[in-house]
Amino acid sequence: MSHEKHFPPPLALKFFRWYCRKDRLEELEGDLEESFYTMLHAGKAPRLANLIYWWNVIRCFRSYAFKRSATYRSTNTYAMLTNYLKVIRRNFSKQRAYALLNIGGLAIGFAAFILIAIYLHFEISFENFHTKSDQIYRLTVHYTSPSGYDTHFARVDTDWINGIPEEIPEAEKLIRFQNHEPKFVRIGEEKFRQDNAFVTDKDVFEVFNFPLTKGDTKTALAEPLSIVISEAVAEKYFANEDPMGKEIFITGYWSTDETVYKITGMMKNLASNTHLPVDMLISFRNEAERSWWAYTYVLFQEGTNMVSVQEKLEAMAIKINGDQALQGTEFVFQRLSDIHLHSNLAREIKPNGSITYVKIFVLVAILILALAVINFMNLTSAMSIARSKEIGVRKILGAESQQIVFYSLTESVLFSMAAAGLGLILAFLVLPVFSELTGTENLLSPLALVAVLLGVAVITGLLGGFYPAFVLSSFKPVNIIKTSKVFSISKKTGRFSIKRVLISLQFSISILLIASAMIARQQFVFLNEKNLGMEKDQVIALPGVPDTVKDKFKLFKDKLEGQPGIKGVSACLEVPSREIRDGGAVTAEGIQENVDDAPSMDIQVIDHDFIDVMGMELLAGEPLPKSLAYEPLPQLTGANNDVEEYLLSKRRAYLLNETAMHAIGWQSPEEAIGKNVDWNQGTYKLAKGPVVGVVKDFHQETLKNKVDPIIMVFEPLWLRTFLVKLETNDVASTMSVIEGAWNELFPKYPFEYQFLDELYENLYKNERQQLQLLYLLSGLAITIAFIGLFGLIAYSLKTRVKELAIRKVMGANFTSLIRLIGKEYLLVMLAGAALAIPLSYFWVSKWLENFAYRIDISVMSYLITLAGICLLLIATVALQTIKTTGNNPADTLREE
Amino acid sequence: MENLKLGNFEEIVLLLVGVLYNGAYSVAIVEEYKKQTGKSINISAIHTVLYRLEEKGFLESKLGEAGDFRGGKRKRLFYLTPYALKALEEIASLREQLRSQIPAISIQ
Repeated sequence: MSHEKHFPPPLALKFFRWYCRKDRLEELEGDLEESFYTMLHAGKAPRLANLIYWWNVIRCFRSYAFKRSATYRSTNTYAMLTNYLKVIRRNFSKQRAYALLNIGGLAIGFAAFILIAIYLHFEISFENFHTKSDQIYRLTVHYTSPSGYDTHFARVDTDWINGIPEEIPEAEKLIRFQNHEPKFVRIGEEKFRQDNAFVTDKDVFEVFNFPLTKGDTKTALAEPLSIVISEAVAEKYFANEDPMGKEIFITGYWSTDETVYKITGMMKNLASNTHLPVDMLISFRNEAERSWWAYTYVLFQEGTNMVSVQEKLEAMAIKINGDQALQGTEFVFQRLSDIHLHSNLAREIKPNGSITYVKIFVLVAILILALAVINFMNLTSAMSIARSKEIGVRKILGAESQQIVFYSLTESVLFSMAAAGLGLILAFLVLPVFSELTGTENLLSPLALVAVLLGVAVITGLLGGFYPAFVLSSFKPVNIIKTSKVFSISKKTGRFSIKRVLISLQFSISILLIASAMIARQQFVFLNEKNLGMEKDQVIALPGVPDTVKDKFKLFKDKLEGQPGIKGVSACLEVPSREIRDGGAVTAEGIQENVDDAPSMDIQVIDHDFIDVMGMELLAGEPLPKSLAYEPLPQLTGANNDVEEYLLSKRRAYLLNETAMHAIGWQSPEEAIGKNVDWNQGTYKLAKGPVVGVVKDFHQETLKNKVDPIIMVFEPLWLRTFLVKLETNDVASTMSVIEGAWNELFPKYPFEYQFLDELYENLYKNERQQLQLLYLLSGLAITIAFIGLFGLIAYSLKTRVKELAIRKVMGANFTSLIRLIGKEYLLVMLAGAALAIPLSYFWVSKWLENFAYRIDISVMSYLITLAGICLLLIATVALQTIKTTGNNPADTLREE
Repeated sequence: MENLKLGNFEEIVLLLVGVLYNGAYSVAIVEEYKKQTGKSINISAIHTVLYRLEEKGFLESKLGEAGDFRGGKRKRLFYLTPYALKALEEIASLREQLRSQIPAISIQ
């Protein structure tokens, strides 16, 4: 027979014999062999039969075939482990309430830990999807001048940098992202405003990982008038249709011309962990377009020494522009991956994060975890009191210290694991709220999360079980059996028992977090309620209007003025709430005539009614005179210095704010009125004109910054924001009047507006998020701390039942019992407070230093925190005392 | 009845053991299963059920002869216990009882 030449594959057989239990080996191996030879007999190819034999061996890898761990079963360790688990389970069900309290507290701690881990991971994961993120650097420029101008821009405006890849050998590619202003897109009859749209180089896909789902990275942006859009934008524009090859119309920001673009690619939506969000990429039309301001990124070779690159760049600047090239100008390379946490420059693409907050939240995560672990330690050791007899018996029966330690650690690790599981569930329940609060996306892979959590849980379990384990193992069995003397927080254990220290640490952490949250809240309320020197309510702003719209501002204004519900219409350069980013030297007649000595001031370009519409207060003088009228704007090309000539030729009058007045050196507003000043920024020069009024200081920017000196002037060319003051209860219908006027005058542009008070509120969006996070965390902290305290007091009282009963018999009343027990904990709490208050003071004052305008830290916050915690503490003690001593003392004493 | 927890597949294996009386061992059951139902099954699935049914007391077993193709290894033969017979009977009668109660109209 042919089958006799063949045998089952030896390796499979070996494997089978290795895992199969001895007592079933004969029959099972026979079965497999029979199937094998039957197949051969039936004429199957030996190779196939081998394969099926393997398959069967693998399929048989099941419990019925496994070796019973006979060796393990017979040893003592295994038996002891089973016994431990059994007793742990019994203890758990016997003290279920305390065990659950213990696990619950730890679970909350783990949940907080998980949330913060997700937040941190998100913050440090920025740009990690760009595979070359370590080789990409952003080029930024820092301008300074002797007159005090000092601005570090996130982008660069010099054109010679385009030559970097040719001049600096380490540089491989230079990618420009420019024309960042919103685009006005038309598709058929539909109009859209598109943000995150850039004009960029065709090689962008070689440097950044912008994966294309449609189109080719090599050719997508090679042709002029090509456009790549993200999937989200494609869906917005075309719903489910294929966008490839479709035409879209974009109206220029600076002109009314409409240009048609062809869609040549669709890219995946980017994750939110980038400082460079991209929804639309447009190709350059020609080399000449690669000019003026651009976010500029350079790809360097691996292992490039940036110090030598910096030197070469500076040499290059001097070679091209002469020795003056670097005067007041500094070029700075920023590593792509450092931008989010370490860069906060002027004109960032979007507000970046901050390493300080990351550090704070790491600290808080550690504090909360510490709180939970302390709790766990305390409760675990308290719970072992009830077990002292069991331990005693185990010891008498010959258990060694080591075994008791192992037993105790097993229990605490098991508890900690259970808490980790619970914490995970809890964390994912609150994750949606948390994400919204912090603007965080969960990018942590579940596997990594579980792995980290498991690690932390085991460490927590070991740490938490460590102390009780050694306390228990050090019991003298005879003492335990003979007396009912056990350890507790009571005076017997001495003034500085570990437990007291731990509890006071817990109080410390809670007080620290709560008091800090309270003070941060006060600052936040202060920010929102401080008088800004103007009225921001019921003002709508239309910021950043295109040039073609701006030219018709007078028409818009005339149309709206006098309409019902509209109190006034005005315009300015920078919308109030946003920092003014144009500064220049102001010379004053009789004081500083020389531009180089003159103080630098921000310029706010305004319309005549600005002071009125914004509700600002004039300290002296008048608003700008109406005689400076709107005239048709000249067509300026920038050639032959025509802009400069135009600016200089116009008649001027100026308003100053108080700070500007003091900066020049005038003591009183009256002194300033009528004096001639001018304004100079580089080649731009505004003609000399009289100061017609002085305005009380107002907060143009966030209260984090001091009020800057501001000079205000009328120049229709530079108006950029329309402002409309409403005076109505029917905002909706007034808005439709404004929208009607807009659509009539500017049909090509969508009508978009913001309320000024919301703009001001948005300034503190980060602070609000942090505050809410702090609320959440301090809430968690206090919950954990009191869960622990609750359990601990309950346990400690349990051990003193007899003592308390005797006191009652001797005539102690309820209040004196509470005083007796409460005093102990109150002292511990005060010790904790003594540590927490200076720490919190230090921490909070550091945080407050971020704000130029801030509250004083009040003692009240601390007193309220302390009083609150005292109250909670006394309530807890009272509750437990009632529970323990509520019944007839005779019953208690009669027991045993 | 509630004590006789028998799955559908378990019941079929019990019946097959009954059918193959005195020759019921895993390889034979695999073949019989294929013959009767037309579906093939992996031997390990049969093993699992056989050992489980033995633990539950539905089957008893002894080692039989080596037989052909087995390289001299004995096979384990399974037999129904009275308990299994009772269970099969109860299941059958319950099914019959239920089926007889189906109104004629719903069968048409």
